[in-house]
Amino acid sequence: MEKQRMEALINRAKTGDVIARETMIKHYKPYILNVVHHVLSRYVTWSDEETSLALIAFNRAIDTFKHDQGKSFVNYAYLLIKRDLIDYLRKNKVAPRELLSSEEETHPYHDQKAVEQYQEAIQQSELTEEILEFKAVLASYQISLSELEASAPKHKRSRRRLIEMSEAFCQHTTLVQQLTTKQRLPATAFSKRSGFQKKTIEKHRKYLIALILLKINPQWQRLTTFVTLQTGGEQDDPSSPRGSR
Amino acid sequence: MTHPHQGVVVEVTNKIVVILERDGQFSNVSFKQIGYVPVIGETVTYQSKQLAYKPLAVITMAALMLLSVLSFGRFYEAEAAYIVVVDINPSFEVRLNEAEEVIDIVAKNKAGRSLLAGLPDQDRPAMIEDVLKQVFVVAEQQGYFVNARTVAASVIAKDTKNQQKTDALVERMKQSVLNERIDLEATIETTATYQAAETEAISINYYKHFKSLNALGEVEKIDEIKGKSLNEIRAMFSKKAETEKGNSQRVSERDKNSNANNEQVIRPKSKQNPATEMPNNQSVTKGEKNHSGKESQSNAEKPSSAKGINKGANQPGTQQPEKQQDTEMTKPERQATGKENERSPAIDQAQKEEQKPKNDKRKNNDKEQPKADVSLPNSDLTEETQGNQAKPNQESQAAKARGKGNGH
Repeated sequence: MEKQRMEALINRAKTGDVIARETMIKHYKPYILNVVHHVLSRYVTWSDEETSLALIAFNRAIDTFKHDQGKSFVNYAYLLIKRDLIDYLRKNKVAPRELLSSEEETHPYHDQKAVEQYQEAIQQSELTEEILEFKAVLASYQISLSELEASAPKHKRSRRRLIEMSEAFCQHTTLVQQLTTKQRLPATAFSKRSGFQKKTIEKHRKYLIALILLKINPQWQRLTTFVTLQTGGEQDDPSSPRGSR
Repeated sequence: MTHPHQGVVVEVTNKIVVILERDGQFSNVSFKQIGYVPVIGETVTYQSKQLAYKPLAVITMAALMLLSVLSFGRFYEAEAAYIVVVDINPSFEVRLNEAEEVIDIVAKNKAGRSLLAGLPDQDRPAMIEDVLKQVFVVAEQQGYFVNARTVAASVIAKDTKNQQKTDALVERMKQSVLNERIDLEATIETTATYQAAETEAISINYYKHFKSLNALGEVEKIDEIKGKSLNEIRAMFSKKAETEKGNSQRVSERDKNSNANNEQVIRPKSKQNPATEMPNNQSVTKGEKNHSGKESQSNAEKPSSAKGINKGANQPGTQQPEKQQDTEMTKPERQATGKENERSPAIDQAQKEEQKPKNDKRKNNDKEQPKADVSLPNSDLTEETQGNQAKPNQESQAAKARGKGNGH
């Protein structure tokens, strides 16, 4: 979700726009569930009590988020959900992995790197935003992220070849338009225009669509670096390890 | 064997974590590989276990390898289209493929091993003829052809449909040793016989000899021919053949004796027709000469009748065709029964003297004699009585004839 659009939605939700609030919740639902899963170290569903607590915390994050404080909304929401869950676990005398790790974070050794970690966290939150958006767009093409492993070629050279194909596809604006409007890959037309084998296109269709979507959405700067042809040496990692969050 | 991978978590489900790696690879990784539940957007490092050897895979691989090693012999045997089992005294098998090329030579006994050890290890010929020649040269050097140059060979074809091809192979084998002055007995045998010989742990050439000897009753157990050379087995055959020949001669003599006895039993007929006494295709005189012993025996029993027969037989009117079966002779016997009785020595003598036979009395005698033939039992006693009865008649007839002659 773009920063401006997200700010607009948050402002509308604060003023009582239920649809804007619902849109925000729907967009961040996978993330909310993932955070609960991460904190509790066990998989949870929407019927669990912890996820309800997480949703309440996220709702509070929408109400209390301030753009001018230099924080990303994702990080802010993560912080609130985590604290609420820890409070809940403390009440129930359960010691999850996250509680121990949070204690470790207070160690003086970790304080030295606190600023760096904060910067990294900001970058990661932006990457998370991109991933969530990317996942939402893929879902409109009836593709889930877990399907991409099977659709992607195993060999590195073949993957490079597919990245070249996606770049070639993006050069044909009509084909890109067909893809975004019909949400279907024009494999035959692309094969005729580019000369790539239709069999190869069909075999790796889902992966190719994912690559094309990453190419035609340059706003996902961090994600795009993962599927860019590396001409030189090692490219810088767009996101550094989150550490022990 | 593990490889470290690094990537960004893009999705977390209840079972897997989807990670986007730097080279654009999406990987579905289990929580166990990461060690904890990551958050979306988090960069994680995990160990891939794609190349790790799983215990089940290792066991399967080991089992397959073991199976392939164990079944190698079977597959190898299945490749042989023809098996040529050769016995000099050393036994060995030459296995040929579909193209009749030698793929293996296997020794079947200790002597065979020593024989094949004498063959050159390299540059082995591909054709059976060349292999046989090479083996025979080594066999000659090792002294297997000192006593005899006999070789037995059996060709077992896996595909029995193409009989002509197998025949051609056998012919080629025979042709190959023509110049070697080797007596090669090559036959085509069935796979069933080969397997039967294999179960008996004996060469198929010996096995088929055993079968033949067993059928003849010469041997009962296969152990009796084990360890014997081909010549010894051949000697057993020839010995058996000689004994058979001797037996057959004795049997033929016995048959002849029994025939003679039979003739004695039906003496009344033989009295009338001398041809019954002689063997087939032989005249009476020949029979007298050749089987004088037997004839004398019968003559001793019936001296008078035998003489009469001989005389009667020598007469042109009573001579029988030379080539006539015993059964055929019965008809003329019956026809000449009366005449024969007339031509008893006393009557003949009287006829010669007076040349006037009495037709009336002859007719009476003719009528009486057949009755005597039918009524007489086959015994010497009856013959004697018959003889005694006949004699007074003949004497009285002669007296009458003399009386008539004197009267004239």
